[in-house]
Amino acid sequence: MADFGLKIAKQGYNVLDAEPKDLVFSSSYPCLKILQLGKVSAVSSSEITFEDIIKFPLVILVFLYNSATSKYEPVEVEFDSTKLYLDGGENTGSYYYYFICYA
Amino acid sequence: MVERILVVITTTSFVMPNFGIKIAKNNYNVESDYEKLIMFSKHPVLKLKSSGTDTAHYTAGNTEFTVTIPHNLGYVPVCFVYGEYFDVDTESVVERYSRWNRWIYRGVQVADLYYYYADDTNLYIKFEAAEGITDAFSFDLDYMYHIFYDEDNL
Repeated sequence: MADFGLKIAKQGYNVLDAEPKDLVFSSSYPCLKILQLGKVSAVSSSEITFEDIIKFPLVILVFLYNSATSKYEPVEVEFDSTKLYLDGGENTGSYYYYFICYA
Repeated sequence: MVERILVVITTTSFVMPNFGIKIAKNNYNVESDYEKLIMFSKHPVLKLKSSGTDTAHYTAGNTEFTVTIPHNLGYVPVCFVYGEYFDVDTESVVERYSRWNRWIYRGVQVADLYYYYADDTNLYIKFEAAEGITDAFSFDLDYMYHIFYDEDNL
């Protein structure tokens, strides 16, 4: 069976001998993919139901846009196998941006 | 559904080539803005080395535990860890996950610490129990982790 696939090296590296960290992409290694993303108000609490059934482990990234400061910041949230739980309680005009990812 | 894949490879050495691979999302052109692309070879993706789920046991009175997961990459990789946590008020594990990076205060200058870090060889998942409070209980915490080939200490 031949060794086949797709590799793309970073600039200055050769795909034939580059370490995995020096590749832009390699079909030998799963990459982080976004299962679901969205934007919801952060004023009140909300629950985001996963649109697809997916097994753990997941990578969940959530950022808060705080209207009081006009800045974005990472926030820690809770989730289980079916939902993401967002606390709310932020200023009017604030939003959560969430990314549910897998690899 | 992929709308269009553009592969352009030039071999000329006289002009700096603009080459690579772009894959656009459905209904978008590969010349669209970055966020409309599925993949663009100008920007590296995170490449998974290993991942898993497991359960860590805390025994009352032990003060802390450390789960050590080897990666042996020779540099500090990008890692993510999520897990459950223990709730003293209900004396039970909360069966929800959050990033293993939380400080739960149990009184003045007393807290449960959940944190993780990596060095050149291992990922360390650590828990330190609030002395005399959480430390009085034994429990199991489920956790999950990802270790990527990509460097975290550039």
